[in-house]
Amino acid sequence: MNRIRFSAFGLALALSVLAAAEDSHVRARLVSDLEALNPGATFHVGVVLEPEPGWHVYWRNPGGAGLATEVALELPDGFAVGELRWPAPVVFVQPGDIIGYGYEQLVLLAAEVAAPPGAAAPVPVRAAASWLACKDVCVLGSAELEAELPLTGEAAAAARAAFAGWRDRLPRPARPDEVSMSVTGGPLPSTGAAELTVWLSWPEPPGEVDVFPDPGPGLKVEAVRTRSRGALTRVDLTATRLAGSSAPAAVLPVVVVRTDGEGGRTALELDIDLD
Amino acid sequence: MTHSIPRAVFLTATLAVASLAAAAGVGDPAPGFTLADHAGNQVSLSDFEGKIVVLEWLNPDCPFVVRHYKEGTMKGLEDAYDDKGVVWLTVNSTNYMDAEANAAFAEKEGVDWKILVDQDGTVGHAYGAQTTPHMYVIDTNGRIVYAGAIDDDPRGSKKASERTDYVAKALDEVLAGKAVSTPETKPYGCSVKYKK
Repeated sequence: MNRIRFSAFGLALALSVLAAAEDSHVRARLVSDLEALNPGATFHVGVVLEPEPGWHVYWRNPGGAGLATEVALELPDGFAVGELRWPAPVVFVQPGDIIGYGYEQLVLLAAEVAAPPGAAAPVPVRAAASWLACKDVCVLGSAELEAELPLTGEAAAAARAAFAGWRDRLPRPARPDEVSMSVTGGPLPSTGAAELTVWLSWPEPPGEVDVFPDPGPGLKVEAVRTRSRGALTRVDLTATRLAGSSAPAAVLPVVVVRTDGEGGRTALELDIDLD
Repeated sequence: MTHSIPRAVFLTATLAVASLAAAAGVGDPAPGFTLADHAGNQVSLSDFEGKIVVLEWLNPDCPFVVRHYKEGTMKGLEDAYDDKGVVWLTVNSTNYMDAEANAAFAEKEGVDWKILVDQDGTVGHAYGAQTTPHMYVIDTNGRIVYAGAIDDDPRGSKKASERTDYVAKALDEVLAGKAVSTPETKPYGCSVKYKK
């Protein structure tokens, strides 16, 4: 475990937004898009993780192995911190056909923050991030970062670059005119497995389609296979309700990513009905 | 559930990952195997017929495994349940770890049970082992009654009192003649470094 201290070696006045641990193969940076603290302002605070080439970190569902990345944000009392937003991940196949979901390139995990009335700058913020980075081997890493907002200078420039286009990479709920869904092969038994087939019908051929399952506790999803023909995508998967789980899941949330010919990705959120 | 979309166009699709679904799961008979251990002795699952057997997937290069050995998780469990007749077998499906590498690990960590060498991953695939650690409990009838994580604390951040030790719980239940209340959990850890 690489624990990065931000107040080292007499640089007590230098707040560190950046951590680069030589052993963890991931660079971590605290960022925010807050430029001016207006009353009732909402802004974003997050952590950029940049794996070295060939390394990856994991999505909130890491897939068959791995570990979900965690980012915890700490702001002064009165600031309301929303849920962490995760850009659409990529899929990687690890030896032995073990499927992983995560990020092989720079990723920003950030949350929306609402400032209380009367809040004044500077706003101190801390972020604790921890991750598992893997290439041929895996290494646990973590970083504790802090800053005062608004960021200035080089830190502000790096943050602007990180937030550029970030919203476009976030999954959003699918509109009915974008895709329609039907499910065959259910219902899923209260404990045990079923093969489900999800049919996604698009207004036009969708390009490449990847499906990222995000099952809650008590639900296991395996062997997700996707195949498109014309404007129709067939998704096969095996879902299992695990015995001994307190609340059986009624839906399986998924993120569906369309990749067009130019590599542009559109990420949509859908809920697959399991009953 | 509707059937409104024609499916015929997909009937010729062959599904590439069928092998995954073929792995044994909870409730299935535990797949038999014979492997050499780290001392070069042949070990078969059938040698332990009628006994409760724990299988632990190992990779000494994985930080989750390193932490559990440092904290004495495996040794503690193996010790505690050895007295109750439970057999502990560690399986290493890491492609680059031969008997010598496993023997060095056993020596370093004071492992006094068998580490089975599965460099070609055959046994790992038969059980669908995905992570290190990935744990299985086999009952006296030779059925898999638990598969999944060692506990519910991937980051090793919980106090012992707040943690659920799934394997210990499953073993206690099996030894008491009860059904395992949590027979399957999502394992955590590094992916098993199978042969490519």
